[in-house]
Amino acid sequence: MNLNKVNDKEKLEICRKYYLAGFAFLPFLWLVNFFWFYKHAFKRNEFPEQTQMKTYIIRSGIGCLVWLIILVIWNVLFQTFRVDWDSVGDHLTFILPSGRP
Amino acid sequence: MNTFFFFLSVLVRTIISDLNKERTYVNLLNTIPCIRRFNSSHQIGCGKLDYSSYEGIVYSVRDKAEFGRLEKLNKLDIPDLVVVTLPSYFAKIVQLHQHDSGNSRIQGIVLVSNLDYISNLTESDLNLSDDSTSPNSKFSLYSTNKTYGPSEWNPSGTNFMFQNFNIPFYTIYDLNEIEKVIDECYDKFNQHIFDKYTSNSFSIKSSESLCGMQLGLRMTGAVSSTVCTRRSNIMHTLESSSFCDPLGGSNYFTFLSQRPSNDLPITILSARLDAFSLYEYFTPAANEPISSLIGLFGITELLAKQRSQMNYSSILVVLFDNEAFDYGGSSRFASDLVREKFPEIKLSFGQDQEESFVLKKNNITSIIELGQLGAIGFEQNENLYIHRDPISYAKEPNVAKTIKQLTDKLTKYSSNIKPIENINQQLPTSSIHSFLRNNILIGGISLADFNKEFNSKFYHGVFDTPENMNVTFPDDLSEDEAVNFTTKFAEKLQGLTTSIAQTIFSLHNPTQTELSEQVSLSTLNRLVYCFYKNTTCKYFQDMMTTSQWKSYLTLLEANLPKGKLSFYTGVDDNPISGKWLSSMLLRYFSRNLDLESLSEDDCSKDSEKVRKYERENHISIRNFYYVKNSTCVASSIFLTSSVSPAFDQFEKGVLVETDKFPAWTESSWNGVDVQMKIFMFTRPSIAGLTLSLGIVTLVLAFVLTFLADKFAHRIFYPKDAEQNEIFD
Repeated sequence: MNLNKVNDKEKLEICRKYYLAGFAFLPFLWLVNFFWFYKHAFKRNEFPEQTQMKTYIIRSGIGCLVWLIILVIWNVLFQTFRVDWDSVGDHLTFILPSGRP
Repeated sequence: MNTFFFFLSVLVRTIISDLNKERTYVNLLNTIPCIRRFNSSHQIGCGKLDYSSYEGIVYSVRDKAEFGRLEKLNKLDIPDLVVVTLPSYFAKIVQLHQHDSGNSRIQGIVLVSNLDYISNLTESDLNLSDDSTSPNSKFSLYSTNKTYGPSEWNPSGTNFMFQNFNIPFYTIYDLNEIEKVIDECYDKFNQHIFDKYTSNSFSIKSSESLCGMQLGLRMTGAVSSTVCTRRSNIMHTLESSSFCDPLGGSNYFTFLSQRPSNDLPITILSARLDAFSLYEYFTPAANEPISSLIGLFGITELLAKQRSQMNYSSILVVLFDNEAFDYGGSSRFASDLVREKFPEIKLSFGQDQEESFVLKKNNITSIIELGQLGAIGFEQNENLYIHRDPISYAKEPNVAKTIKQLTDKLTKYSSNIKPIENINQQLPTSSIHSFLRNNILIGGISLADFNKEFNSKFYHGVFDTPENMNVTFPDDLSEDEAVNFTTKFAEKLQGLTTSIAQTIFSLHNPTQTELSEQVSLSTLNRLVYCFYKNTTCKYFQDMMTTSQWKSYLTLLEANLPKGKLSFYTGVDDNPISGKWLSSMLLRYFSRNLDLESLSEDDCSKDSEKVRKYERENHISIRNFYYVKNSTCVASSIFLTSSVSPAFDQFEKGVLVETDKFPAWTESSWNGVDVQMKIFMFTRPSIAGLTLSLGIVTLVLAFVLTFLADKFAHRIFYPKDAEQNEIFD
């Protein structure tokens, strides 16, 4: 989709849909939303939908960041303690390590 | 068209890269690795975790000076080494590596195990038993009761089998391959460089090229049987992966009476079927278990002839598999009996309708096990010793009574079979442990050539060869002569096994009939020759059908150098040559002699002659085949799993009762990951030249691409188009 061919109202609608869909454990949508509409929300001349769009974009950004922090922490915890967690660790592992604990 | 060129280029590349690989590496054949195994809590074997191949400069240790130099080299900052050693130095090199573990330059050890390559070796030069000094002690009757001694049956044990090494060990047996490594690789390229070593320094000049070795050893299992069993049963993707497999195959048994029966007292005659060494499949096993198997087959043949007189008791001949790894096979046998889960046997008695028979523990009164018998091959050793468990002997009157009865009879029939001197001595490594541990309180004796410790210094080792039992054949004999050549071992074995057969025969027989024959010396001679000298002898061939013989030859060639039998325990779906052969011999020697002269057409379960015989004698025979020496082999061999009961819920990913039953597994691996290769290390000067040329080529390629791009309109612009443009 070429955003340049879409009017601002529709842009806001798309931004809102992405923002709401992100709550379905889809932080990547928030990330896309943030980068896609960032220019329109913050770098363009004012237009009526801009304030609402800014809110969605900032919230998407924060949501995405929170997810990122959670994922990094989980990743570090999982990599560090997978072996200690024994059976739980193995069941949480998607591709089981070959020849390693 | 483009696709065609693409495939063509891929094809050409594949061909060229294969050629390069072949030019670079020489794959060595018939090399035997030390692999990774697990019990319920530990990992043993060779190789680092998640490490696939090990490389180093080949260094050979053949004498004291070379070993001394290795000790010094190992402390220096030099490139990694792969040490190829003669047996005399193997243990020392392992210890050297373990001592310097963190800084050791040794990346792999290769043992030369063909004694034909090594001359003038004495027994003390050979590395000894790979087992521990107290084999199977964790699952013995005395694991928690230290009152009874001694327990160190195997003083030569190095315990290498049960350690975890962070480098690979391999053994090479094939003379061609040994020559490739030592003569063509080490002597030709490396020796003169190592000879320049002075006590101060060692360096390799950039102009010197060295021969190296790559040892592949990538195992997929890790940690313990508990972990890898669980992982083998977790399936997140569609692709299932196996990390380890339980050790064990089948226990074989047959009744030496007219019919299987729970109505008569049952005496078990047993021997072990398996062995191990540090190297997978490589089990010469001359003393343990072949010597006992030869004795057992001799007795079986003799008693099978008395089948019609066995009216007072049943004799059950059992070959216990998976005993080397903490009595897995006998544990399964005993626990099935206790839990009344013993597999049902179908019997037809010549009728269309089948009856079922399940072996029960109540009627089993005694077990006579044949242990190591090899030492009787020596002039000074004449005796077998009667070993038994002192705990049940003291506590259980029935057990004591049976053991006394057996002992009295054995000592009556042979002055060379003697009770042990110390009445409180432990029962040595024996399948009887499993019966008593499972509370099947029967009188069990183990007959072996030793009193207080093993005579064999090579128990579960790579040098458990017939030469160590004094079994040798004169060189000038033809095959026909050699097969009838009587060794000291066979000669003494005949007398001893006849006494054992006589004891078993008269045990429950009120008429005390004496056997009219002895165990056949000719059979023992043939078995000794075929097991120890020529595993593809005509005698074995005559006992099998053409297709059975083909299967046997295939198994013989499967994992080891030509003609070498393996008695390794193995995993369930993988037949092992020595064990398979033993099951065939048990079939042959326990055959029903009344039917052996049947013609080839009548040698079948469906033949009317057979059915009539079965009906009249009320017996049921299971297997029929007609072998090359025109004999109909009509016998009933049954098999039960020898996988430890700890794996009863393997499919669910859990182990059960691991304190009571052993849980040994073998790591799985991919064939291409376990290989031994030699290659030439690139000289540093050549490597530098190659790198420089590569960089120059890279820069040239960039420049050419840039120029081609810049002048593309001149180079690629079609002349026609140019002309058209002009005319347009």
